[in-house]
Amino acid sequence: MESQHEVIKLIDISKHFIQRKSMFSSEKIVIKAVDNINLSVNEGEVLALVGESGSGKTTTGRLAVRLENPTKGKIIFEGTEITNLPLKIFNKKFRTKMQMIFQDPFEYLDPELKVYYLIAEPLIYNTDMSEQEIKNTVYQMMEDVQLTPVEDLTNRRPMELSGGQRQRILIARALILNPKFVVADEPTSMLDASTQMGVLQVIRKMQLKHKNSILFITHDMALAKYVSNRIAVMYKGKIIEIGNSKDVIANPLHPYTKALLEALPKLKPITSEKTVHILPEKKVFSYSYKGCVFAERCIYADERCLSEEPQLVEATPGHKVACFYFEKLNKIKD
Amino acid sequence: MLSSLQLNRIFKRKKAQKLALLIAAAYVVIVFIMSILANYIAPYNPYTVNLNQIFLPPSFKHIMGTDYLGRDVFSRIIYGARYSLGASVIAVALALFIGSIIAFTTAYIGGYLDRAFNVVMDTMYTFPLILIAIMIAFVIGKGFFNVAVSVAIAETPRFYRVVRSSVVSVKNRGFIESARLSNIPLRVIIYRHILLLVIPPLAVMSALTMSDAILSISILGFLSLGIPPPIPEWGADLSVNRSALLVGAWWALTFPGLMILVTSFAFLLISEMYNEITIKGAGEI
Amino acid sequence: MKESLLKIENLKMHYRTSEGDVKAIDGISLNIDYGEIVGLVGESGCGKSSLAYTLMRSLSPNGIIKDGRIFLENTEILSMPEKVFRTDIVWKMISLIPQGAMNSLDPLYKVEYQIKETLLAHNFKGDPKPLIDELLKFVDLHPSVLDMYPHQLSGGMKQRITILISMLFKPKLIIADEPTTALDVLTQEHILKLIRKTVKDLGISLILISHDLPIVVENSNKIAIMYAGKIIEYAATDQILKNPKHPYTVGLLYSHPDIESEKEEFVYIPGKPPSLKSNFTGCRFYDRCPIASSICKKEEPKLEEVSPGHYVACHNFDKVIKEIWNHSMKS
Repeated sequence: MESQHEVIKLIDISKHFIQRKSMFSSEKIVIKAVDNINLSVNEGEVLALVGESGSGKTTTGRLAVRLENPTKGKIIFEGTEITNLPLKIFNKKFRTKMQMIFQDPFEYLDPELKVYYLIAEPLIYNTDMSEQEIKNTVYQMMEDVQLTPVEDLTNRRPMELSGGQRQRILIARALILNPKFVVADEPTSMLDASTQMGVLQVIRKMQLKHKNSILFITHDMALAKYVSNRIAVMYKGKIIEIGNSKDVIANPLHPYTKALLEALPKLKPITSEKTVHILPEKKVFSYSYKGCVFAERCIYADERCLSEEPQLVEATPGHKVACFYFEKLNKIKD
Repeated sequence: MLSSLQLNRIFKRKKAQKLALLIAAAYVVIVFIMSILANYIAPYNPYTVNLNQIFLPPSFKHIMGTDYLGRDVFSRIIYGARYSLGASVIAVALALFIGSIIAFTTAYIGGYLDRAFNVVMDTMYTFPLILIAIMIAFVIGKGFFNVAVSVAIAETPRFYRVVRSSVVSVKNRGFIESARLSNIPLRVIIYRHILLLVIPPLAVMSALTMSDAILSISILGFLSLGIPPPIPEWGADLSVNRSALLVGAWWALTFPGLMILVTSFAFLLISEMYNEITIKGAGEI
Repeated sequence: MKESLLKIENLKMHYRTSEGDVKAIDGISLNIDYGEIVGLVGESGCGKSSLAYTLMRSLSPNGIIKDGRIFLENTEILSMPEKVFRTDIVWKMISLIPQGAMNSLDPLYKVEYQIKETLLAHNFKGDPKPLIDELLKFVDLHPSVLDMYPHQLSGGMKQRITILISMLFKPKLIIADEPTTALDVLTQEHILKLIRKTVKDLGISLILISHDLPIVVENSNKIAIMYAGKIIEYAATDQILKNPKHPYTVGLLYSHPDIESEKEEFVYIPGKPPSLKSNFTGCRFYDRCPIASSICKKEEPKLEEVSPGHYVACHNFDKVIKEIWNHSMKS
């Protein structure tokens, strides 16, 4: 059960990139990968960050563990502001408490190292545990993440293992120091369907056992519902809806969330033609950030949507949405 | 789709390549042994002048004839291996050592240091060898070691580039980021990887540079910028024996010339074949 | 009996490698009727993409067809002379939307040029403009895309262009190899909608190859499930959903959360598919199968019709129910 104690809080976080318009012009364009978002993850909870590619979800995850620095905004971890902390101090005091489970189980494992060492490495460089203590911890962890038979696998190298096993090593590496906060960046998207649930169950089981707080990044709404307590939906760098998982899925308030749920493939044949309520994409991405980020694809957008940016407002307790017309669109009764 | 016939041809080519590598390697080894055991193999003293026996054609007494001073060409070639090959080896070793160290440290540190040295190395690479040799000869004079240094300077950028690209390629891999997340120092990772990554391209580059160096040493010798006579260096011998053209004494020029060509080509073959065999290119099954 | 558009009989295709033969397709039979979508589902390494290239006879140099026949409207196309196949069949009767199609567009040339290039390569005669305009409308693209370079377009648009190119000669059969991978959910649905429209309005048949079972379920009339180079189950979509008869099929069906159901238990199939280089005895799914019996180890099950239109390759198909995976279901 999650408490209301905030483990990590992102305040007005933005990540902007400046690029020249083309090779020959000196005109600069700003790409707002993440724009003014506010997010917090409570102790023991799993917050899913859902979005498509280009939504900024991966960047947000990387900002949250300080793999990248924000252009603007503050990050508060367990009450301490860590945004501008010098790297040395950050690494010493906070690094081991904030970890990431990466998406790619091929690229993110050192091909030269054996499984045992891959999991033991963080312990070796961050604790004064004895060799025996390390061995015990690693073996226990391998059991926990179902990298079995343990004796057999400790001496293998990543390329001898399956995708699911490699992903388990990534999980073990991230969790071996028992971090308070973990970002899981689409941890199953590179795995075959039949092995995904195995890995997810491991993550879930570990989270229940150690009560880490998890920011679970995914593009799959169904997965988000299964794995998280709350869902935040991102579009073009902004959070446009956030609330309890069951609420957001049963009662999506934002047109984008609705479209996402309509488009999601369900395990049944199409009887009548599927309708997804969204406008087709325009051919060129305009770098003007005026009004609602979703306006150009929203079938309900009007003048106000094109010029004014909607803020997140609380529609029902715990369920926020950034849309001027959410009441009208959902016929919400108070 | 290829027929079995065509597939067989591809497999045969691989075999031929392996054979070529073997022959070239065997040749190089023989030449090396020859240079070391020159004292025992050479029939004559390469420095013995005999003005009565100028430009004698090849015979049983002198397998490759005599040169413009009556010296035995065959003996000069055998001893010459010491100097031509020796200077090349020193040049390549120097270039390898210096290029690698600079590349490793600056690429690992990155940032301005890396970019600065990149520019420096690119500039060095544009200097023609002859120019460098002239400058060195002017400043510290000619000689065996000096000519090796000239060639080394000319070839250092190649090794720098090879090592640097390996370091840079490792630096950007995903597991490096994962290591950062576990507070593992960058240098540990790079050490762990760089050796394995860098040895094959360095080996290829060394063979290639040897091929180049042999030619370069010879050219410098020919231009009298390198190893001075009467030392039996192959390139120098080409120069001093130029009067052979007037009297038709082809042996005094052909044999040293052939040695330069064949030895250089042998190293080239080694580097090419090693490349082909170890690095899987397109079309490799 | 209605004649099928495409009939594949016992197709076998191997890749020759220096480490032995990779048996990518090891005895596949399939029938495709007019105006239907047949889905081909399988996970990585099962050989499904190889099937696409075999049908187009455009395998890499080390791909060899070992056995089998393919009948396109009663004409056998594997034994057809190469030249005839290229002029009469490729792109005219069968065309392909290759995997990663969005990246198959040449970045150096404008879209219009690439479309015209394909037309020329297949001996199109006459004015292409009305054809291109008509197809652009069909795939829901504005004519201005013709004048653009691929990098100026979004992933969805590029995919629609490759679909357009596959339709240039109004083929009878289109093979779509993972047409929606790497696309977002919204774009994916847009593309699938276009594919459904193509089949419905133009009567073109389609082979939809994907590793994503829900997509195939939503869009196909019939589904073939591939495992380790073989088809292990083949039936109409609703039969696969209601009455799956192979343990692997059941595993796949219950392996992913469905947004509409509240269930919390899912199947996880431990292990990984066998390498296609191995020599197989018995059933290829033996190592991972929860109901494998002794016969499964010795004898390879054949794909047989166990109820009208429903084919399965399993010795124990009558014992297959959802509960066989209970040991690996946890919430």
